[in-house]
Amino acid sequence: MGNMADDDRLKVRGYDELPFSSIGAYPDLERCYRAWLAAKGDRLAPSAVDVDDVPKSVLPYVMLLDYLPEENDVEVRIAGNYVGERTTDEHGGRRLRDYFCDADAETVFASMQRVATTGLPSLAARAYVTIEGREYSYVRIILPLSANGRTVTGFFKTIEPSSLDIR
Amino acid sequence: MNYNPCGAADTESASHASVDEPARFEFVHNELAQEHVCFRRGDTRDAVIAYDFGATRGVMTIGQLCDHLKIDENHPDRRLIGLVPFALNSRRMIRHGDSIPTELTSGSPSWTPPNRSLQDATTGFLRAFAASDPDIREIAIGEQPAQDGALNIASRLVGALPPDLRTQLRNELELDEHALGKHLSAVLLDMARIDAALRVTSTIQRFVGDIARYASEHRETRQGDVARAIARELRPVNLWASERAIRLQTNAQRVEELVTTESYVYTRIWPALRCLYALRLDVEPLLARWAEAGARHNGATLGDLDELLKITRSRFGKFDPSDYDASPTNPSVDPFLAFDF
Repeated sequence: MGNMADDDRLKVRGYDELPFSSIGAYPDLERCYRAWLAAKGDRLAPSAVDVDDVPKSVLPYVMLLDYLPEENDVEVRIAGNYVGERTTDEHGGRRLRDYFCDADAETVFASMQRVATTGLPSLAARAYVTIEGREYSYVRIILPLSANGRTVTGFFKTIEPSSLDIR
Repeated sequence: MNYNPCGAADTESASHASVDEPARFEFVHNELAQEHVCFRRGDTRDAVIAYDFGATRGVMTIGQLCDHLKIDENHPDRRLIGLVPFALNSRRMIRHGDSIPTELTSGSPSWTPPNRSLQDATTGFLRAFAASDPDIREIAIGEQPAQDGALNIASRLVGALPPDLRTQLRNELELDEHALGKHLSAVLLDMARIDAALRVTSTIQRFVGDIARYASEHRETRQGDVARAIARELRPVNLWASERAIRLQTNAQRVEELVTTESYVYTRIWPALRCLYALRLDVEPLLARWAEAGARHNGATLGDLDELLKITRSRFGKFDPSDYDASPTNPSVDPFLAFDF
């Protein structure tokens, strides 16, 4: 499938990694992190984060992603309804470049790659402009997942709903 | 030209590889056994029979049918007719002689996933088990049916699994190498169905998003108002489907459980696949109408939107997620109690 024209894709404006020690300021994300930690045990990462253990309020913003390091990409397996209504490509594309222009896709991939390499969650403040010209900003978490217990194979990503600001 | 009230055959449900002869909708009443008679969903979600009895042709509800043909509760066709509304969660239509969907017997999905999803499932399987044969990623399924493709891939997967894992699986599942291949092919097909169900959910999300965008682009017009009303009706459907799909994928991420634990598949995977497939069948007329409107030079007309709103309200105006969980395999639901004359 061909990429969308740059103008149709999201533009990453701001990307600030936050110290993970500040997670307490984002109570819904903290609950997601606790659920991930409990499922992880002494493994590199859990195979999944149980939906019943995370606040229902984050589900519309959840993205479950496959990590494809050999292709420098991730694939969106499924997104919550809020994300899905806004960003699903009309041809059913589910890769980063179906959502972001090339330069921004690299920025987003780099953050995923860091999580995959370290096995550590990432907390960040993000801002971008949609195709309608509206600026979205929020705080998001990326939690690594491992289907085989040895390498990171995917991610659980969501946002703190109260941090979502649309202008 | 013969009148065919049933339209095209339901090809997606046509292949049901099973060693055992499946139970079938074999009706005793002659009128129900005719070629041009089928059960399908009506404009609302109700099951109807579309018929051509020679002198009379048209559509009637199941209740009207039973009155018309004098099928009372002691009639031998009564039980099968009672299953029809549930079977229509898995099939677009039911005719005399069709197999009863396995969703209503063993609980397993009866539909065949597309090859694209099977390829995706294979990659997911390899990612989970880090099998040693990279060539498996390159297997071209081509035009062969997904079920044969799954069996072919699975037999190669067995050979490609790390030896200690292969031994562990054979011991845990108490299977020889051939049976392990068949077992893995069933797992691959379920993983492929999960992929297909997630893609359908994404399509519904995109459709609701498109309608909402259309509404905001046509503010203060009649078209905008109708589009907004459609989006409002569909939002709870989208919310429910999205949550159900996220839960399904979360369960599917535990690939080891999928492979080794039968009860996990029965309780976590098949019910979700059943619900999302039933929703897919209900949403199809909306998606088709929207695609048709989009393909037209001037886009959707007010007439298109009014029609979409009509279908949306008749199918989802009283949206109740439990309709999609209703199944004779769900012990909380008695199909004969649910079947309302």
